[in-house]
Amino acid sequence: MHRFARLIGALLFCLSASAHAQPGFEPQARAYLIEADGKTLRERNADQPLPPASLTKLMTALLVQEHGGLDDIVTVSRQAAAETGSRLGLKPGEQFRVRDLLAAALIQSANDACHALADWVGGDQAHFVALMNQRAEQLGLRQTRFANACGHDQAGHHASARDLARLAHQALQSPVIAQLVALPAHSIASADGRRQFQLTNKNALIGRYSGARGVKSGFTAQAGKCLIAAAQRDGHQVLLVLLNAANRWWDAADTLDRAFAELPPAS
Amino acid sequence: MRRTIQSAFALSLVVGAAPAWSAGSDELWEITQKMAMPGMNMPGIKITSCIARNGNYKPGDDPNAKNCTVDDYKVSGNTVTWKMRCTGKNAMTGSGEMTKTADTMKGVFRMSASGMDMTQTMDGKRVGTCDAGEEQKKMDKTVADFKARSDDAVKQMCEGSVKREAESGGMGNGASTFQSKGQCLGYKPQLCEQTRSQVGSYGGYAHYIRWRETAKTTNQPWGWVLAECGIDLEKQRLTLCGQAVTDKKYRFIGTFCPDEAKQMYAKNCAGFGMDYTADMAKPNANMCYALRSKSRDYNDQDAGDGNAARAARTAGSEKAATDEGKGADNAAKPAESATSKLKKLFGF
Repeated sequence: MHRFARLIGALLFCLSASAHAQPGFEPQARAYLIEADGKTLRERNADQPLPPASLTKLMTALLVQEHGGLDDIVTVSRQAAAETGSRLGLKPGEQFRVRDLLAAALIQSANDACHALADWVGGDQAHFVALMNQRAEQLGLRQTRFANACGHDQAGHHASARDLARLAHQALQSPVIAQLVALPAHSIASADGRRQFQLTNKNALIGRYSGARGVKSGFTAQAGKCLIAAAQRDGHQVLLVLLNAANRWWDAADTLDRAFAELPPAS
Repeated sequence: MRRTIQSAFALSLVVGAAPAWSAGSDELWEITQKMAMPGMNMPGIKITSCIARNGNYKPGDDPNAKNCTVDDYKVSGNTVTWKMRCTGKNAMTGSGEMTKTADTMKGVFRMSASGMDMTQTMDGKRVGTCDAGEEQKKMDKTVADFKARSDDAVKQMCEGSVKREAESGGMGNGASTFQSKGQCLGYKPQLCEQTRSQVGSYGGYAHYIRWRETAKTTNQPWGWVLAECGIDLEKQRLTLCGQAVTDKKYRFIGTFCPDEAKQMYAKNCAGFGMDYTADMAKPNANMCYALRSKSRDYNDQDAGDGNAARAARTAGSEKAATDEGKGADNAAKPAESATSKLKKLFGF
C-alpha cells in the first residue's frame, strides 16, 4: 500500500512536471534567466531572492568604476588580507593600483582584492555595503540586498536572477569592466612592482565558448554554482544568469547555443 | 473608366475640331473641362493643348480608344455631332456636340457607363500658335522618359525583391509578385537560381532553417519561394548531410543531421559532456561539441536520454557542489526524465 501511494505520488509529480516543462533544453538551475537582445527568452524562479555568491562583485566593481580614480593606489588592510575563499594572498600594507585590484576581483574573483577595493571606496565594509544597497535601489533591483562586498554567504545577502541580469547590463556599460571580464588571463603587479600575479579567468566560457564576452562566475556552499554569462554572435547578444546550477559550464554553453539558434538570422 | 472618359474627350476634341483645321497654323488652345454626374460636380481642369493644323484623328490610333467606334457623325456649319460606343472593360455609350469658331470652342459629351450617367463639358479659347510637331516630340520624349523611369523603378523593385526573398526563402505573402500578371514575373528565374544556389550550401541551408523557425515563432507564412521554385528542403537536407560527413562539416551535422550526428558522436565522443573545461581541452573538442547539440536534441525528442545524460553528468563530476536537483527544482524537468526514474524505481 505504501509502495502504491509512492507510485501515485510519483505519477502526479510526472503530470505536474510535464505541465510545467518548457519545450526544448532547460538549464538545471534553481533559478535562471535567459535574455536575447534585451528581451527575456526564458526564465525560472527569476524573481526569487537567492544567495548570489561572487556575482556580488559586479556591484562592487560598478561602484569602484563609478567612484573613479582607477590609477589611485590602494593599501591592503588587515581585514582585506584576512579574506577567505578565492584570494590572491595579498599582505596587509601592500599597495596596488585600483585597476589591478579590480582586475583581480573580476577575473579571478579574489576576495582580498575585492575587500581592499570596498575599503578604499567606502572607508569600511559597512559603509560600502550601504552604498551597494543604495545603488541597488537606484537600479531598481527589488529582490536584491547586500550584506557584504564580495559575496560570502550571509543572512540578508541575496539577489534574484532578474536583478543580476540588470546589474550585469549596467556593469557592462563600463568599458573597463566589459574589457576585464572578457579577458582569459591577465597579469597585475603591486604598486612597487615587487609582487606579480597571473590572473586566470574563472569564467570557463572565456576563450572556449565562441562569442563569450564575460561576465562573472561565483560559488559558495549556499549559493551553489552561479554564473552570469554574456555572448555575442551574428549581431545578437545573449545574457544568461544561472543561480545554483550544478553543471553550469555545459548548461551555459548549451543554453547559449539554444538561445542563438532561436534568434532570427542577422539581416 | 477614367481612361475611357479621357479617350472620349480626346475623340470629341479632335472630331469636333476637325472642320476648322482645314487651313492655318498649329493652334494653341486653353481648354477648361468639367465633369458632372448625378449628385456631384467636379471642379474644372484647365489644360493647354497644341492642336495640329491638319490633325486627323483615327480612333484606332489612340490605345485608350481602340475598342471605341464613332457613329452618326454629322457636320452642320461650325457644329459637329456624333455618337460613340466603347466595348470591353471600359464599355460606354455617349453622344457629343461641339461648336468651334476660329478662336473658341464649346462642347458637351454625355455618356453612360456602368449604369452611371456623366456629362463632360469643354470650353476653350485659342491663345496663340504653336508647333504641334515639336510639341509631339516633347510629349513623346516625356512619355519615353517616364516609361524609362517607370521601367527602372520596376527593375529596382524586382531586383530588391529577388535579393530579399532569395535571402529569406519567402517570408510573408509575396508570391503573387512573381506569378503570372505579377510585376516581377520576368525575374522569377533569377529568384529561383539564387535560391537554389543558396539552399545548396551549408550556410545557406542553415540560414533558411533559421528563417523558417523565425516564421514559426512569429506566426508568419514562410517558404513561398521554395514552393514557387520547386525546391524540396528536406531532400536538400539529406543531400547536404551526406556531403557534410565527407566534408567534415561537424557543426552542420550537429545541427541538421541527427542520424549522422548520433553515429559519429557515439563513435568518437564517448565521455564528452561531463566536464566542460576538460572536454574543451580534448583534441576532438570542436567536433564533439558541434555534434553534441543535435545528438542531445535527438535524444530529447525520442526518449529523454538527453536529460538522463545531463542528470548523470550532474551526478558525476560536479555532484559535490550542491544539493540542487533534490528539492522542488525537479518540478520543471521534462516528464520523460521523471518517468525514466520511476521505471528504475519500480521496475516497470
